[in-house]
Amino acid sequence: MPPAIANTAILTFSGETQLTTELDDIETLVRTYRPRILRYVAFSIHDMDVAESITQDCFLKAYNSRASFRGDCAVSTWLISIAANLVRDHTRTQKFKFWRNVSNTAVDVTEMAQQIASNFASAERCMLAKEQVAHVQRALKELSAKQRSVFVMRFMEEMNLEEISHATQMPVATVKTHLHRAVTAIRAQLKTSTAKGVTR
Amino acid sequence: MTVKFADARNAHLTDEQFSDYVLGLASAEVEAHIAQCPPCYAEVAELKSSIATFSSASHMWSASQPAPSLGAMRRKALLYSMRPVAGFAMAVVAVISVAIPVGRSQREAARPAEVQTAAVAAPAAPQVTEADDAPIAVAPKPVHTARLVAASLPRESESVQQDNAIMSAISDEIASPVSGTIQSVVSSASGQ
Repeated sequence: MPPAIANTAILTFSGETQLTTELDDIETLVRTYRPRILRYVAFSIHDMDVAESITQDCFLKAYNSRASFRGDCAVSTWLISIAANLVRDHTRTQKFKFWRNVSNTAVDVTEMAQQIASNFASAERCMLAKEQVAHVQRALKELSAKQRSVFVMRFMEEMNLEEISHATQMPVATVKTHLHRAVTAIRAQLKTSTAKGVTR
Repeated sequence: MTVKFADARNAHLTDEQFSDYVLGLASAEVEAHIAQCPPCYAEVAELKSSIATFSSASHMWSASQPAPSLGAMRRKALLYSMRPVAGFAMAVVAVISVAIPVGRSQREAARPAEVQTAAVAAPAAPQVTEADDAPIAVAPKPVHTARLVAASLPRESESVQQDNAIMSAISDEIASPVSGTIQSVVSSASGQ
């Protein structure tokens, strides 16, 4: 067998072996992917308590149905597709109470923004970072559930359009449309906030 | 291809072109314009910087969240995998809890009707003697007639009542004394 093919075979075999191990051990699965799934869910629904619950359900569901994973996408994409379904189900049931219960368990990243800015050791950068985070967070609240979901996938989870399409079961063109609307809405929000001089 | 915005400060790109650039899908023409247009460049830079800062903050936030007890997670996974079995067991319990009372009520409803009869005395055939003035023996009236005590169905009780009425009428008829005309007819018939 030519070396190139042999290497590929070995790599492929290794990849599949690692894949199988990853899914068969729920502890490894959670340890590896929990921050990503929690981040996606929390910023899609903006409710920390519910996000914890949905994240847990996502891993339990994934572990229980690991035999159905065909390996046609990354494990992370597969997990996010499960989480997206759970978020969609939650959104449907909480349609008009969606943002009313945010106050006590909302995710607040403005304090985190200060940590980021502190890495640059500039008070001005600190303030700017907090403002930027507040503006984007405010803009996210105005998006529809689908727009927010694809925005989080694209800009926070750095998924490409094909991966987002696979996770959301939406055509690429539809994903692109939602992303365009999300970016336009955030752009408009930033303009408005800057014009009004709105700060955190 | 450019379209003017309502805002004259940035009347260079359409919303779609601007979004394409932010998404990394821009054409070479759009990229060239942004590189040469300070207002567009500034706005794109501000938007991308804001999104990047928010993304970084969210990563730091998620990394700082306490992880659940993995042992508890493993136990929950085991329970989660048993949900179909548990659901089936609960369904069986539910069926049994309903079936038992229903079965009891049906058995009580279908309890066979009690037959109350001490004796069934068929009415004896009248004894007609050859003697003229010998009275025709009166058949003893049945002490008890067979009765069916209907336990449930009205239809059965109606038919039972009808049967009882007929039998009572027959008993009365047999028990009643035969008239003189009939007696003479019977006597002449026996004498022939």
